[in-house]
Amino acid sequence: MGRYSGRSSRLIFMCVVSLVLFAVEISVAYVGNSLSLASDAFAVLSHLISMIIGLFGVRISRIRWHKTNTFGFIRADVLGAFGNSVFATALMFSIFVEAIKRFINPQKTEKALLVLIVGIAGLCFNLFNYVIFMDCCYCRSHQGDTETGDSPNDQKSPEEGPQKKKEKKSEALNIRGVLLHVMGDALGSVVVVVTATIFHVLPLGNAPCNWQCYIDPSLTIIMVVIILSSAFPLIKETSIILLQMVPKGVNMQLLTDRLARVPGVSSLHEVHVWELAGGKNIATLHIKCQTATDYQDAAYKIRKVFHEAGIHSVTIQPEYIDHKTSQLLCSSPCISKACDSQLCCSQQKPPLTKTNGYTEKNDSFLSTPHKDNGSSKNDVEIPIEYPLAENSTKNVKNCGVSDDKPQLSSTRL
Amino acid sequence: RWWQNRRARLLCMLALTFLFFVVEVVVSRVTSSLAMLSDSFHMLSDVMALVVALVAVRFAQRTRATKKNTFGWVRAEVMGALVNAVFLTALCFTILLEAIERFTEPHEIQQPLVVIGVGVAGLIINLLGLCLFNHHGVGGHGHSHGHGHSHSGRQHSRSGPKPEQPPGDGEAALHREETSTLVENCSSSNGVSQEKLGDVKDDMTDLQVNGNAGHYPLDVEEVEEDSSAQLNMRGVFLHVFGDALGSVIVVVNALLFYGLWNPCPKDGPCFNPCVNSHCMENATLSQIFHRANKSEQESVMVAGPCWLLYLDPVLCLIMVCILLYTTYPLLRESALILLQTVPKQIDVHSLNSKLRTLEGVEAVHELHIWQLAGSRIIGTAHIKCPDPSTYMMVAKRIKEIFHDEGIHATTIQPEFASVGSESGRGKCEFPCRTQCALKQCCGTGEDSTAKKTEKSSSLSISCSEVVIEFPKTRRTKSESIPSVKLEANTDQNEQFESSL
Repeated sequence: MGRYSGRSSRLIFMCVVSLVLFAVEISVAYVGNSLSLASDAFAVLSHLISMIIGLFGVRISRIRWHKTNTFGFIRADVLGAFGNSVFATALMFSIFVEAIKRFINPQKTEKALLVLIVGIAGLCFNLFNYVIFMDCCYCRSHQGDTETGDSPNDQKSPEEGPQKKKEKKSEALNIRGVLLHVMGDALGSVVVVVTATIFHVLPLGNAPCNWQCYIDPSLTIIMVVIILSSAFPLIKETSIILLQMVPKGVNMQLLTDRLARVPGVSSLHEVHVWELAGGKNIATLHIKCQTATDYQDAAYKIRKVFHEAGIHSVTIQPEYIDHKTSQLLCSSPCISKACDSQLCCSQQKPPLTKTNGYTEKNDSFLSTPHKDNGSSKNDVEIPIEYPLAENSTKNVKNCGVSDDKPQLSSTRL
Repeated sequence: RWWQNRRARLLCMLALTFLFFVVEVVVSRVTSSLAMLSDSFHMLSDVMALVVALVAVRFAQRTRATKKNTFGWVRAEVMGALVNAVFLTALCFTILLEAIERFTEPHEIQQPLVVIGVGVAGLIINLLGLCLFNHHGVGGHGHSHGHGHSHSGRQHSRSGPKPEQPPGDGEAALHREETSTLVENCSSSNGVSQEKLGDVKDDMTDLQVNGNAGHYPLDVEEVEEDSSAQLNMRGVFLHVFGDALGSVIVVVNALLFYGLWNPCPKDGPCFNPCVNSHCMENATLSQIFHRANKSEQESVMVAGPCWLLYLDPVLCLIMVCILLYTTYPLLRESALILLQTVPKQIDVHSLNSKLRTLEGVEAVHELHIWQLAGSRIIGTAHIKCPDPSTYMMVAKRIKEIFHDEGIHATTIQPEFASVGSESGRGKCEFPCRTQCALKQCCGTGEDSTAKKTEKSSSLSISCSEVVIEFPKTRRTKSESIPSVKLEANTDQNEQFESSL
């Protein structure tokens, strides 16, 4: 069986075991009237929910084309990981609140022995869970790397090795979300075991609460901090993908520089680079060229530039230079200017434009009005963006700048 | 018109809620009531939801492309809505846990009067919040674009019923009625300003159509408030709604308790049949004692109707059900946007066939349509034409077809069969054809034609699947490809045959 089915069947197995454990714990809690058992049962239930989310992600992300989703549901993994980590954060928040309440109102652990036994059982279950997932996803990934070398497919170049790791990374993202919950549960069980041990060894009886009552909340707070510190990197990583940000290994400035230097390209705009999921990067851009042959040659070279940057799905829209339209702005954003607010990035605000060979000149020209609008700028924006076209005169000015370009580019050709 | 501003509303609510949280914590310390402390932490979760929504709104105002994000940050609002929805679900979960706790260990409310007072104050604040955000939650469509295009009209009608609370549950209808009667005043006072806003917007669209509209008389965010902002506001609205329900439960419970409960007096023996604790044995013991002293039989008090203690958890369970029911649509919608699905109103198949039936278009592949946020829909396609001049003729028509569907940001890549690559293939060109097949976003449904060799077909199948280690796994995976995908393949097959 392939690795993927192994993962989902393991998830299903763990779901069933969790469900059984939850049923057992809640009935024992009701019969024995123990509060901590009831809360532990709910921890198991939350675990179950997180695994269901993970399973859902894994299952759905196998669909590659669907009429409601032209990309397939590859992103479900990432979304599942994000949902799981936000869920874990929210649960940690409520546990934190409980700990604060315990600080204000300390309580003794009663029936320490029973709690200890259940705590140890929960800890074993969690460790078992962890081992299963680790074995399924992380150990195999290491094996997979070594096997890439002797993969029978000759067509694959050696760069497939790291690429395989990237794809595993996206599924691993989902499993990381589930593991976050497992870890939270395991740490919770550790806290329960430690507290129950202390109460068993040093029983308080009817004495008022001393330092022993404060161990539980303090350990719980430490646990919350640990889990939050591992949840936030996961949230950050998945947000980068979900917010359509430029993927980590890609430097936009460098990329647009290289693209602008491709011969045949007069200018380019509407460059968008984003990651679908698991290392699959997608780019779209509009280029302005003189003739169709220009476009053909340039297209190949542009793809090469993107390929070297790690972006393999590129869609290039050629626009032929027409002396009537403004050089720098997109000549075919949509059929009328009224659609502006529905464009992905408003045309009224200046697009990420880059022109070939004249960037330095434009920079120096445009940076002066840029400084006027310094208050509205952020540091993250690429400095070549010229300022918001507050009135039409500025647009005319830009057109004026660009008017001399067609002559220059024609002499170049 | 500060109340129209999204950010102002969020800040106002945030300040109020935080203040109330502090007040509740202080009161709970003074009266040492644990129930009030837990209620105050519900308010704190409300504060967090508002913070998330505020951050999302701040981010989403930057619609320009930046170095880190070529699309601008418009999607932040959808993310904010998703975070709020997940947060709300987790909150429901913990409320469920507390309710079950109360079932196993019911305890009575101490000092019901104080609880009533604080509960009513909380309810007032929450109703105010509902009023502030209801504007968005239920049919706030006077606000959306005043475009004259037919497609946007269609879009409005589609998204019209969307933000309304779903009908069905009797309780939900009751609550909806309550909130709608209460907020009538709010919406009527806002109604006037809405109309004014609508007028100004019409002027603005005229400006836009006529020429280069360089300036915006209003705040940009008023104009561009569309369904993504509504999603975000809906998330906040649901949080406040949940809190309001919680306050209602607290007040109802405390009132009934105050009215009907016979508490155990502090002095004298008392038998509390409802609380199942180890003290009960002592209580029965003392009762036996009293029966032995027949003279004092009447003085045994029994604490009061027991079902009152179970009222609280039952109401909490009902509230959890209502909340989950109303949160689920929000969760679903924001998840679908983040998954890059085709927006509901667009039918990819019909779009595909419209494009293919154009004269001069031989094949269409890699057609992708997705929603960035709100009404910004993005499309890409590769169009195969016989030669560049034909392409120039159809280019405008293609854009018009996309425009009619509501897709305004498109990137169309023409491919010419006469130049370069083998005919019938016309796929994305060279460097990334073979080695990078796995890294392409979706290499596949479109080009695995029957003409290909076994090797390349397996390669194309491998493109669509997860990493493959052995050839035999490849074949087992090919069997498990869902049938929908094969359908896409056959479409493209027909295309290629006709072009040849």
